[in-house]
This record gives sequence, structure tokens and C-alpha cells, in this order.
Amino acid sequence: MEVIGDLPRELFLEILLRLPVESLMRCKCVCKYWYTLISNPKFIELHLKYNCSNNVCVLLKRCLLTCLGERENMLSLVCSSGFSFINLDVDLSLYKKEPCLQLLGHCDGIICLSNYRDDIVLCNPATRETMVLPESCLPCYSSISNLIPQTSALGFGYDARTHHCKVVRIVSYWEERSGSGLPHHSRVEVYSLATGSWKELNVKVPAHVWYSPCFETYFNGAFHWYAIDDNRDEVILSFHMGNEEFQVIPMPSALSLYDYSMCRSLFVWNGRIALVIYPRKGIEKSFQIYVMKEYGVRESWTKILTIGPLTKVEMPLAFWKNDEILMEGSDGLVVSYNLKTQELKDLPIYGVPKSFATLVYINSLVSVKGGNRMLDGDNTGENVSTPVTFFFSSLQINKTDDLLLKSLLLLHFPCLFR
Amino acid sequence: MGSTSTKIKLRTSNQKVFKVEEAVEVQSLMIKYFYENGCPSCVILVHSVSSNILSKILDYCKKHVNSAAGKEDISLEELYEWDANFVKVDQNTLFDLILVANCLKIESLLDLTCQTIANMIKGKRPEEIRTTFNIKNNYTPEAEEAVRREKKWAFNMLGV
Repeated sequence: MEVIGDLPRELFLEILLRLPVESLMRCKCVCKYWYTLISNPKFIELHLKYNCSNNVCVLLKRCLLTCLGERENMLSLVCSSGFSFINLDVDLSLYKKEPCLQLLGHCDGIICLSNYRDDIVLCNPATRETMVLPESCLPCYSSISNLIPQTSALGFGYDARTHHCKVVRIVSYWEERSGSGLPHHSRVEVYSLATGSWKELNVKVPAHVWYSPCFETYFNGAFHWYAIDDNRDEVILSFHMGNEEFQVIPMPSALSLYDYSMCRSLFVWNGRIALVIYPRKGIEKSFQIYVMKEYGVRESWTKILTIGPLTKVEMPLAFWKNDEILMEGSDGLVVSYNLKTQELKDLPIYGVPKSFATLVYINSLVSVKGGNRMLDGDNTGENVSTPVTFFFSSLQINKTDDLLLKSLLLLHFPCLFR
Repeated sequence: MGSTSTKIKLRTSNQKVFKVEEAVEVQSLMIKYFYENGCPSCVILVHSVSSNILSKILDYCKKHVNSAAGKEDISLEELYEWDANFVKVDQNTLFDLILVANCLKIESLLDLTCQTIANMIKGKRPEEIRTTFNIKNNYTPEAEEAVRREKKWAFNMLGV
């Protein structure tokens, strides 16, 4: 074999899969064949899958202080190999100085950002592609006078049915003088990348979304918020991106009623929802971790372990690499706690205290415009073919039952018989 | 899976016959499959590969099996270094190794060799990639410029 072009297509793809996005962008200029391969939806899907199992990173949002003393948002990528990080050169012009910038969620390389007021932006930090979502379909004033609308919740996730990402927004209408602390009513709308537009859902929101640090999480096809139900009990409110329905998930029954001195944060840990309970203030903090073993079932909440007491640690930010927890340390330093060794390691990442937010993130070529997703049964990738060189041109088998063997081989290594 | 009972043989294009050893049997899903599915004695004709490629593959399998079994006192770092030296070969040999690793289903070797080629592409400009791999540019100048403009930032990162 003399040149790279003689490699069978599937082996050439094995090489391309191992390249980072920015390198693939340059590879598109090498020749038309490379361009076709890299732009192919099937390749984009394969590259995403490869990175899912080999290259999971943490995307970190933080604020830095400029020399003029102004806060500026910065996105950085903490790679799973070692503890290095790179700052992302994403155009955050809309949000550079936004004090309330929220990282809403991540799905297949696309992240969703918002300031919770007007704009929602989808961005693929690897391809630098961004898209501002169109305006809401809900009226910005209420038909009933004296009600003030406010975006109370936003969520972002993947709908496996349409193979597209969706953004969900809950707008709550507040009475000017609300005694109850709960909104008069709420309305819900969903933006789908499949349709490129907002549509209102005719559903009742069963609980009111409340703030809790590092809580909002996409898991198992649904987005999760911290919320208060009509009985004023704290719950997890989830919205399923596929069937577009809300679900109320109870908190562990072991939790004491409503303790303002304790914070709750929600994460995905080893394929399950994990709740972390820890004190809001204090020099020494312990972190209790509960895991919901069976999704949606209150009785399945199990307290797995307690970390600490740890000093110089404020709050958890993300579970990563199965046994590490990224945490915000005191004075705006990021630390990583290893559950096995119980060691705390300083990462060389600083930011304004309390300005951190994280997402578990995967580099991908997936477009924010949603056009290049593979649909089930879509075999467009198979149509691009090059001559395949056969390695085993013949098999010489000196055994009587070679027919059986050949059929077994055919089953497992069809490439030998093409 | 005893080494003495195995009778699978590989025959290369220059008519050299290699007895498959335990080392390859463990590393190669393909040979393992032959062995476990009732064909412990056969000769596989490896058509397009020369005997030195095959003996290189055998070296690789032996090294990895021995280190995994603790027969050889070698640290993980030393094994990485050994791997790095193993792939310090010319392109033709690398491509041949990829082909054999794929067909004998030696996953770790396929990963190592593909990653080596990927590292040769990473951080290079298109013209450098074309030179390295002897690829003909079939874009018209206008079309190439259009593709470049589309992804300008990816070039800025290289300082070009």
C-alpha cells in the first residue's frame, strides 16, 4: 500500500475520527473526496460517537476581571486527559459582559446560552457556529392587566424522536403584589430545531421553578429543574423533550423539610441522577450524595456517600471521569476531588467567585442549524464509495466442515467475502 | 488456549509460513475466532502482506501479551514508549500495519496506527497534508478559496 487514498474507506474514516474538529475543518480543503467524507452526516455521527467514548470534556463558564475592573465571561474546556484547560475563542459578543449568563445545557456538541431575558443562543464551540433563536411566540404582556410576565425557566435537550434539539421556556405571570410567592399562572413554549420556530404547549406546569445552584440538568431525554409544588414542597420538575410532558419527581424522603442553610445541586453520575446536599456557608463543608436508582421513583433515592468535611471548598460543579468531582474552591479556584483517593487537587483555573457554571461536553461537528443529523435508516453515507482493497483475497481452509466455518465467518466478518 | 495445540498458520505473499503463537491468538479477535469455532488447524493465506510486516505484528502482539501477563517487567510508560518506537516507520509500512491490524482484528494496534496517521495530519495546513500523503488537489482555485473562507478561523489557529 503506497498512498493514503488506497486505504479502504472504513479504515480511512478510522483515521479521520481521531482528529479534532479544527483539524477536520482544514482537512476539508485537502481535496474534494476528503470534503465529501467529512461533511457526510454519517461521519459526523461516527465522530460524535467516537468522542463520546474517548473524549468527554467539561465546558466551564467563568467570569474574569478586566484591567478596568469589569467582569467578562469566558468559556474554557477542561480536558479529561490530565488537568489542562483551553480557553475557547467563541464569539460571545452578545454576552461578553452579561452578568446573568446561564449555560442551559449541552447536547451532542451544541450548547445553549441565555441571559434569561431576551436572547437565547445556540452555539457549537468547536465549529464556532452560533445561532440566535427567534423571538418568543408568547405575548410580552398579559391579557389580564396587572400581571407581569417573566421567563422563569429555560431548558435545552435532545428529542430522540425527531432527532433534533429543543429549547423549552416557561413564562410565569406575576401579580404586582403577590402574597403567595407563586405566580398567577405560567405558559410554556418549545423551540424545535426541526421546525425552526416556537410553538406554545397547552399544558399546566405542575410546579414552579426555583433557583438552586448547579441544579438544572439534562438527563434521560428530559430537562430537570429545582421547583416548588403547590403544597410548597421542594421537588424536581422535569420536561421530556420527546413527549413534551412535565413530570414531578419527589426529593428523597430523608431530606429534612426546607432548610435554607443547605444547598441542593443535581448532576448526572454514572448514568443516574445524583443529588448533592451541602451547607450554604461554612469553612468546613460536608457533601451528602443521593442517587435515584430507579428514575422517577421516590423510594429508590439512596444515600451513597458523604464527602468531607472539606475545607476551602464552596460547591460542586460537575461529576466527571466517573470518580472525580469538579468543585469551586474558595477564592475562585477550581479544584477536583477524587472519590477513590479522597484527594483534592487544585486546577490552574481561576475566576470570580460564584461565577462558575459547567456542562459535561463533547466536541463535535454537529451543526446548530440541525440540518446534518442522521435519521434512523438514512444510509446516505453508504452511497459514497471507493474501491475497497481486499486483504484476505482467499481463505485456504483444510478442514472438512469448511462450509460451516465459512458461514460463521460470513456472519462475523462479512468484509472477507465481498 | 495452549500455544502448543494451536495449528493455525498464516502464509504471506512471499510464501513464508508463520505459526500463530499464543500471543497473536490473544490479541487477534480474528484468530481467536478461528480457534474457538472449530478450526484449530488451517492455513490463512495473507495475500498482500510481506513477511516482515507479519513478523512486526507478531512482535507487537508478543510485547503486549507478555507485559499484560506480567511476564515482562515493563511499566505502562515504557510500553507507551515502545509503541511510539514501533510506529516510527515509513508510511507504506504504517498503512500495511493498519490493514493487517484491521483484518486480524487487533484493536489496540489498529488504534495505535490510526492515531499515528491522525497525528501526522493534526496541526498541518492542507498543502502540507497533500505533500505528506502525496494527494492531488482536485479543487479549482476558486472552490478551494471558498472552502477556506468558510472555515477561516481553523487556519488562523495555525497563524497562517
